[in-house]
Amino acid sequence: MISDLGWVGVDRVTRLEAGRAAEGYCNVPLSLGVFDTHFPRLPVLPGMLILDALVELGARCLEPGTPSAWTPTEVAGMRFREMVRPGDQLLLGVETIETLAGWAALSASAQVGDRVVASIRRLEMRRSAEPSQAAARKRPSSRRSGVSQD
Amino acid sequence: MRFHLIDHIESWRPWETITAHKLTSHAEAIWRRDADGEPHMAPALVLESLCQAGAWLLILSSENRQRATLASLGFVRFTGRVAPGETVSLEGRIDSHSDDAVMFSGVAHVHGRHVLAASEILCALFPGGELEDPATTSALASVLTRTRT
Repeated sequence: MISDLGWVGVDRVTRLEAGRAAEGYCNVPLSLGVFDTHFPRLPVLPGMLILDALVELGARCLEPGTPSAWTPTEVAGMRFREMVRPGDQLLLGVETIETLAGWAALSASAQVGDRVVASIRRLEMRRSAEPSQAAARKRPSSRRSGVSQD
Repeated sequence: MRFHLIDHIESWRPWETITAHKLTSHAEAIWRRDADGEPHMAPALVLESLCQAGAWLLILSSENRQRATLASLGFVRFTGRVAPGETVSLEGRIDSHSDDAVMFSGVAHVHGRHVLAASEILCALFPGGELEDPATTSALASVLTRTRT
């Protein structure tokens, strides 16, 4: 996934069954800039960055060739059970629950060692428009731009 | 990066509601690029902005004695995107609170267009000083609320 984000994501995918399940991990080094402010006296990885990493793994699972086409639409039942600290390695996993054309529901979890530190009961994602379609939308038609074809 | 996603607190009522804003900039490291190549704010960070608004409501309501850490999310719906340069308006509400937890909900919108709704955001409470120097928190609160300490 092309990203400008300067923090954690999926560092390596270790298992991939396209459209069904995926596993991977991301490392949590102390050098991450978020720890300067989150929090100065107790550095912990923000829960939303765990969510972001699980969304990324879900997208890779659904469409390994074009993961950036998938975006989250709903999250239901996410739990943060333990704090994730610098030096931890997050083991991420996603599994599809339902799939339709351009839409999927998944479950997801993140572990540190054998302890589940975060879980999502249901993560819904949809496929955004094809790049060519998006480009076509942005291209002004001759009628809209006022150019006559006569 | 500084993990501060609130730039201005417009109004707040103790233990009830808060209205705050997140101004976005190309210069920030918060952007995703999808298949269409256009940047948009990572959805998880739009949600984080709302959660931080809730955290500020708790800090202000408790007069800087309490801080919140996220325990669970009940339900979140992402309904729109945030593009660079847009301002995200955040409206949060405390639905219930006890000595050790707060339940929060809210919405985010951009110029009246809803981009996010979230409910049953459960946060565990910590003494403020355990996470950050309370003086630092107070100084930032005065910047966000445009008040003098």
